[in-house]
Amino acid sequence: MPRRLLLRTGAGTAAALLLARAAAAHTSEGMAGGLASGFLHPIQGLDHVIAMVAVGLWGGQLGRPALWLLPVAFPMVMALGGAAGARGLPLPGVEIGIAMSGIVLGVMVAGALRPALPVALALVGIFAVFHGHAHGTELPGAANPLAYGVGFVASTGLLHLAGIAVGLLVHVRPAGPWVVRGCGAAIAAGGVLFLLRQVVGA
Amino acid sequence: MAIARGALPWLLAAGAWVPAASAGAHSLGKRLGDFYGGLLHPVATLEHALPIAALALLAGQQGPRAGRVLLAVFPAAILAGLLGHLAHPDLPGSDALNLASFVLLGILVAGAWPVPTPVLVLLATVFGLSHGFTHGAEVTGETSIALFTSGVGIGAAALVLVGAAVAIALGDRADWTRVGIRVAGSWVAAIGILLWGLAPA
Repeated sequence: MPRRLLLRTGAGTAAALLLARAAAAHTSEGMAGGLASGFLHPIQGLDHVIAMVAVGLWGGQLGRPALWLLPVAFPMVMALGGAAGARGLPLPGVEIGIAMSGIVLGVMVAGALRPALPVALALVGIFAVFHGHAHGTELPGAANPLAYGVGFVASTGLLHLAGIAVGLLVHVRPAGPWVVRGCGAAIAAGGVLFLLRQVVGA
Repeated sequence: MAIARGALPWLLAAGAWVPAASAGAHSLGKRLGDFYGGLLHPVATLEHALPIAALALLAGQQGPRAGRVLLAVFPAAILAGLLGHLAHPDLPGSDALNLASFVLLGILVAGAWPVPTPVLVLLATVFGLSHGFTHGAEVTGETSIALFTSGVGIGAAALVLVGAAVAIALGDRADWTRVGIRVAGSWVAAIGILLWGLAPA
């Protein structure tokens, strides 16, 4: 079953990437413009991308029920952060929090750490608010809000899916678990770089 | 045959994507006539199609019986709302209810909570009325009301039928297909929450 699921998610991710390329080609007004900018926003900042992929990787490592709960709960929690950001509710240290999310989630994946489920969910949920908030405040005012939301949620979900697809490699022994942990280490290192850039301001 | 069965939900999903992608094409009604304008409006306008699809998924999660009930109740409610707009175009609250339908129905699908049939009927009635009321704003002096309303009713029924069928088919299959439905609900709720943040009703 995991192998079939792996194939399907892989195909879906490839299709999503093709769609993203197509969307990039037509940045225009109205519905299409909103869809394109919403879809592209989460995949344009590498600090967001690595954290979203890390969520998926960790889900793959943790297995059920976390594997199921993360992609169901994350979009809604992130949207709450996004709505708060769009409404101008201040959240201090957003960029630091986002860089920290890459580090913490990367370390969890690299160490194959398994905290209790509520702890894992709370951790991911807090970071979801930070990521959503950043997207909400950086939002282009002109785009169609509904289309922006559709593109934004779909692209974040597909990043999780990509992470889960790679994370399911833990079932492909003997090398698979180490590939996943290596990805986690790379994400943690990326998070450190982003944090340094925030702190030093370079 | 097994391949065909496995492919069916994906084909349906792809079929759902194509009209959604052309949702901007509101001028279709002018070219294809009022019946098709009405038919496409609930199906191909994202602010209606997403919550209606969530309602259909919610019914499908409860099983075939709830799906049949929804198929009877929802088109009637949306038509009642549409006709209500023609009679009293100034009633307030439909935009807020439409926005609430994204969040509430999305959360119910995401949680996969059991919903008793009377509650489902209540949800279908309230949100059918509010979405139908918004459809009424599309009617101009030149619109044929008979053609437009029959189009809206059939379009809404088709969307409910397909959505409930997808949820019933995927619900029987495996754990991860059931989770796929819940993720779809979570996306609808998230889109509604973002929409509330960006463009409060």
